[in-house]
Amino acid sequence: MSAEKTSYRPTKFLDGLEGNNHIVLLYDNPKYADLIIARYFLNGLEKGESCVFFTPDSSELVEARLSAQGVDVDSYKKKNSLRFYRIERSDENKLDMLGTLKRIREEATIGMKPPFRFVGRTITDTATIEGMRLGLAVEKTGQDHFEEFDNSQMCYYDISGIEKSKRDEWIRGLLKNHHHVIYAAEPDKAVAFETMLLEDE
Amino acid sequence: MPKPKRNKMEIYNDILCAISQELENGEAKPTRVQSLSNLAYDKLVRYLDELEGRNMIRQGPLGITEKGRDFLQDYDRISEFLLAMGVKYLDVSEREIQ
Repeated sequence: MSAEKTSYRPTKFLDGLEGNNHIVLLYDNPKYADLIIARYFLNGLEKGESCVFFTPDSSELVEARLSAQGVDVDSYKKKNSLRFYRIERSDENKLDMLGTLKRIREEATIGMKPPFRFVGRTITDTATIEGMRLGLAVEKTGQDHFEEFDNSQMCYYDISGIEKSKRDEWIRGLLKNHHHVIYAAEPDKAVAFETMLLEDE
Repeated sequence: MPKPKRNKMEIYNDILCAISQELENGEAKPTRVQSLSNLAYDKLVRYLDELEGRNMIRQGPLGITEKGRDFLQDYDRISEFLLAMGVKYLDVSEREIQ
């Protein structure tokens, strides 16, 4: 994996990004997603940014995955520049989308210094049509108000387990509501590009 | 027959391929690039400015930067990804996912 870290195309793309960006990370193999997430955080941490990982899973699990990719989790946690924020697995209380996004952002960054860099997503259910619809609506709200939030964000989705019948429309919706897409896969399939490239002539 | 619609990525690729092809013969002249990339001259000028702004080409004389070469290398892979995901344009309507 170490050779891939230097020549892997999405890594080079990430390293070249400047300013605040809303990125969607698609993957079907968590090994490559971890590689990208760790690199994204490290790029921010090395510039003095504060990073938050939003997850409905236990933070120990996520911390172990980041550590395995070379992030000195304990050290950054002690410096208060890396934090793991547990989000509710249930999506029932997230219907006020803008309000939910603002509340979570505020709660998650208490005591941290801007600029902020986030990884995660608010809606956890991508296995049902209802969950996908709600997730897209939240992503659209996030994208429409992106300037107000004044942070960078990477939203990650495992596309191996999503509901199949609406997959293409859902992925198109995700691409439309982010500035960049990264497909973290084997090196000969992985891609990263600006979604505006899909605008027509 | 109407010309098939291209997205921005396809147009970028057509322009960069045209420049690359012309550079193999010595110099990339805008009029040749225009003809090879099948664009009206005003559109070509706009796209060349855009590509230069994105640091993918240099103008005067026309040349391709490292970022532009990376794009050319990645183009087929991105096209395959989009085909696999069933995406070509972002004209998704609100009625989808219902």
